[in-house]
Amino acid sequence: MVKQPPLLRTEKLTRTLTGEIPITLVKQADVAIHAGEFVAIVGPSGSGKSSLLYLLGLLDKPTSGDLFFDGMNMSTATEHERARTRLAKMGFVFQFHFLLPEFSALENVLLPMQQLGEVPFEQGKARAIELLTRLGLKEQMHKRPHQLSGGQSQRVAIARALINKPQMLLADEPTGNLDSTSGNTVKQMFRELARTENCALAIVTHDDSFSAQADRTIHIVDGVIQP
Amino acid sequence: MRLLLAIAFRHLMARKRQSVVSLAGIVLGVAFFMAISSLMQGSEADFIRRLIDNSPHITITDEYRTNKRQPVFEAYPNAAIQLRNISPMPENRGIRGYIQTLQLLKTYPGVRASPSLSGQGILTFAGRNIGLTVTGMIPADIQGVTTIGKYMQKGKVLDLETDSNGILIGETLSRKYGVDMGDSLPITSGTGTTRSFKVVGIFRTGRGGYDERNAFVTLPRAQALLGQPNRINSIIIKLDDAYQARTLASQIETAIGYKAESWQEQSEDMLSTLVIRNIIMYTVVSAVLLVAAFGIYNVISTVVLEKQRDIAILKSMGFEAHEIQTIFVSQGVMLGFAGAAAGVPLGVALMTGLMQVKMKVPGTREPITMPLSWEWNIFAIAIAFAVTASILAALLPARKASKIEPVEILRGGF
Repeated sequence: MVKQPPLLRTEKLTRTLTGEIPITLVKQADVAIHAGEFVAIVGPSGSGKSSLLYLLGLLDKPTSGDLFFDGMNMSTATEHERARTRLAKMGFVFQFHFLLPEFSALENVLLPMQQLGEVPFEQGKARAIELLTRLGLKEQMHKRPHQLSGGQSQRVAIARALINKPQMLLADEPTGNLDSTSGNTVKQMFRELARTENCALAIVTHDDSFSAQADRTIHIVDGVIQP
Repeated sequence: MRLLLAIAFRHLMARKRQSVVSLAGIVLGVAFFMAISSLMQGSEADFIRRLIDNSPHITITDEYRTNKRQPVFEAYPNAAIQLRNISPMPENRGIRGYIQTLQLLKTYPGVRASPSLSGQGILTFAGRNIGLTVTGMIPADIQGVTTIGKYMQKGKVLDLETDSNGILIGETLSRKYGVDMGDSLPITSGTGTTRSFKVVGIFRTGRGGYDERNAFVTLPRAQALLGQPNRINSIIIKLDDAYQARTLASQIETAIGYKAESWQEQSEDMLSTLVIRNIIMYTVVSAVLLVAAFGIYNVISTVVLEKQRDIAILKSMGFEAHEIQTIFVSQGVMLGFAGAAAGVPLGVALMTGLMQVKMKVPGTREPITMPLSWEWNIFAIAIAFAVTASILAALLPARKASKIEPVEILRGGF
């Protein structure tokens, strides 16, 4: 059996904040994540978990090192290529839902699909409704974010992250702002969606029960990945 | 693009009160810009129309623009010659060979010319001596080059042809001294010649001084009175296209040598005053729209500040910097166009209202209405200025929004 190359691979990825006293957020990180793999990124507060996630998600640019995603060296890619990759191949869920308050739940989910512009609107809308239904939000899809609970909003954010069928879903403490019931629902959904959508998961979490479900755990301390 | 416009529109709708206030600024700015521009352009056009109608388009006088050079300087251009205490050769004033000049002028298309001779005379009437400017002209010609015919209250200009001894006097003179049609007026010129004229017409231009101090007779009678037989001292020209006056005056002057002054040259100080007035007007009215633009800047800056999280999430989704900028510039465009769309009808209403205003100006008998211009350029400039000002006001916060780094905002959480 031929081993598939990783979906995402980094080589000595380093991110340093310049200033009077330079601060290294991530140091010489070598990471490889395969398609469909669930990777939990754990570590103490301020260890560089989120910084590593932002680098992997192309939201931040490394100071040095290389990042390959889907066979393309993103370290040398243009801003346009990085933005297109985020839009078409990645999905993000943050600790706070960050839904646009002027749009309904359904419209929020449709935003990345409309921006990508590769799927006819009606087809995309059907997928958005299907996703929201799977996430138990069929009755809430026309509500505005302020009319939804924290757990419901976070589920809308998950649907939004999945609308373009990303190859990789990146989440930064997605249950950190939820009560335990909602948190458990969201965790369960991540797991199920990763399996059904065949998408890699990279999740930063403090929650041991969540990281225990992962295929693999990356420990990071002071910006350095622990062996 | 539709998505970006939808986001821009939702942002504005989410802040209805702020948006409406900034919109009101643009609406009022556009309306006042239109009303004041229309008034200024209208009064300027009215002023120029009156100037063109009431003044000769070109006046040829028996003067030279520069003194003739002494022949010795012409003969020895490079010699060191100095002449002192010289005075010009005595010469009877008047345009030499005016018949030929008139024939030459007839060869120019769209030109109507009339010769005239003006001089000072003293009217002795009711025991008083009244100074008058007596102008001799050919009645049939003068009708085509002046508006005197329009101002006749009694009699006609052509009545001078039927009664060669006739005179046209102003209404003020008639009223002040009780002179009426058929009265005989003795006028004495500077040479001591006295001739008696019969009043065959009374004109009223509305300018009191002019209507008291001017009188018109036939050219031969003026030449006899002023002791200048076969002479004229000016040629009045009207053109089909008044705006050709400057060019044609220069051509005529080159051809005949005498000074030919266009109406623009005669009224240069007035016309330059109009330019300055326009600059002041546009500065003031533009200031209104600039203030309105600051309102838009304020609204969009606030939106950008409040929407930092949304901008960060849009960027993380894959929206690019220029697309974020487009969202906020679109808000300026929307406010600008909406302001213009509401401002134009309000401006038209203001202009229509101004047209109804009637004023009694001192020195006039009839109430006058405000001269307004309805030229398309007033509307175009107002709309263009409103939209441009709105876009420029939006550009600065939009650029700021496009530079937001999502990581910095996302790290901050709320």
